Amino acid sequence: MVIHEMLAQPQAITWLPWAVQYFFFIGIAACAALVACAARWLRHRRSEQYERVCLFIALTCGITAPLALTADLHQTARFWHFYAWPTPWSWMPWGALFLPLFTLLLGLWFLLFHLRKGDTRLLRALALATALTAIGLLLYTGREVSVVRGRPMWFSYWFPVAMFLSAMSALLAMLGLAMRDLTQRMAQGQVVTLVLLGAVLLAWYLGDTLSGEALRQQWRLGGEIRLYLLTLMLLWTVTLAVSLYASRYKPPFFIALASTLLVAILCWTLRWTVLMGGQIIPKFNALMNDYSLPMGTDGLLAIIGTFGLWLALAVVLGECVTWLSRRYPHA
Amino acid sequence: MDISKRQFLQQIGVVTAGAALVPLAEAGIAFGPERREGSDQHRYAMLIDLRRCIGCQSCTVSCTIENQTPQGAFRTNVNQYQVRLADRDDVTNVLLPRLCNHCDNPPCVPVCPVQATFQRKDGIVVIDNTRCVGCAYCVQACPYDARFINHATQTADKCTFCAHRLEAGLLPACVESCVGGARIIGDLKDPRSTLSRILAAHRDDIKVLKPENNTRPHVFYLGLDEAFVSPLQGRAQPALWQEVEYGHS
Repeated sequence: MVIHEMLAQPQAITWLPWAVQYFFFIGIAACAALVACAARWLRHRRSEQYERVCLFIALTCGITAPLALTADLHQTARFWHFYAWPTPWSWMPWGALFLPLFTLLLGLWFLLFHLRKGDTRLLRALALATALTAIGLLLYTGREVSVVRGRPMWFSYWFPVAMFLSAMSALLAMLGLAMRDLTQRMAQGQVVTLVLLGAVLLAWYLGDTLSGEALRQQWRLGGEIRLYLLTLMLLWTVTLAVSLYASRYKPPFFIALASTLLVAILCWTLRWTVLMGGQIIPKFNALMNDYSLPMGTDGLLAIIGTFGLWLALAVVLGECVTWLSRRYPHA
Repeated sequence: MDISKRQFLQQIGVVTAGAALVPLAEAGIAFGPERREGSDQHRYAMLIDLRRCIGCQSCTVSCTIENQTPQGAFRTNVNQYQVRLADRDDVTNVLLPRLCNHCDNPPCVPVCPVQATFQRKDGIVVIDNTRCVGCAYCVQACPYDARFINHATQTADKCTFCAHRLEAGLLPACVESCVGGARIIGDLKDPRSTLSRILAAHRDDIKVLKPENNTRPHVFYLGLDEAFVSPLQGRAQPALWQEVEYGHS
């Protein structure tokens, strides 16, 4: 039987690049908070350095992420409805609880850390509370997508794991760049996370699941998603090679910078492939849902704007820390 | 019955703990979405008799006029296919009207983060668009592409079986305008309704879309070939002109 689809209505893409930006930044922020918490609890001569850098990354990313998320709501001003009608059985509203708590606790921790106020016990408690909200964020963002059976590609337990590992490798790359004396150590960690990520993605693709089947079908059909998958494979191979090199020999700054950017691009492309690529797969039709990146606030500007916001926040926060340390040199 | 003081105190403790939960249950605190509004005396459903559909898109047009959906957005439409058997040269047309399936286990309802989309007691799945935040989670969760974001209201939108018309004793716009009488709406709880009688008479030939999703759809098809029950990607060829057409829209 040969079926020609003569007339079908394609579905519009409704989760926009804002969502990709959110998943990118929140993953890194949550991982940074977890590492900072570990640094606070474990006694290590470099603990303070880890905590300082991780807190900085977590706070800048943790402010950028929810702003991108609210922009993805088509009725942004109604965000308060999340609190007016609590719905614990849906994963999404858990974000309305975890996100503000996470940013608030993180902000407090950051402030106390830099002002050298509050005793160790308070900071430890804060670190633990923040880490718990970070776990909540990783869990809810992962499950929110992976429970959607309507999009078979998303319907996989591997999704939250892949999101976590890719965010962690991006974080380690950033740490390696920020703490140049620890580049090699971070690169070693990155090799481990990248290998784990590769194994998880392979298990996801080869699995005898609805999601694995959907992925394999997209590969066979050879459309846009195959192109994304090929890009991911290429990025993964290059970043692994660079990390392996960096774990042996201390790379010059520009190589470390390029490596960090590559890992960040890998992390971002994975999210783009799953979230945006997943939406172009039709649910019933033969015709793919068309998506071309618009130039405006729902497209390219959203992507550039969020990265710009993060950069601006990094500069402002960096200046604030410098100002604080000058004003209170003994703090 | 012989009962020690200790045992008595233990048991009274259990009873007290249980009693403490009674007001919680009475307060109606829900741990899952609940049906609200509408009457539980009815269960509305639709039968589409494909033998009667001529693909005129009257349903599509009348729905957009009745429900004022923005240009290019449809709560219902009719997919059209040309089918040729492998060993034959002649082709035949297959028409497939699509709309919200008002599932008994609707995957769109539990995901809604603010309970804006809900199922009425009569089975109709609706959206309170004054509450909807436009997160489009329901659009993702629906396996039938039945939902979309209405860019005039910036909220989720879908077929409501024209609930406002049903309440006024009228037929949904698509049913009213169907020239071949292919769309039949009715009450499943009324065994004498036309819908119930046709469903009973053709029990073995009735099909629903994507039954494997366990959504228990309540839009039933009569005369639907097995080939069209599950997704067509990879099995059907989109017509070339259609892609060109879409690229320009």
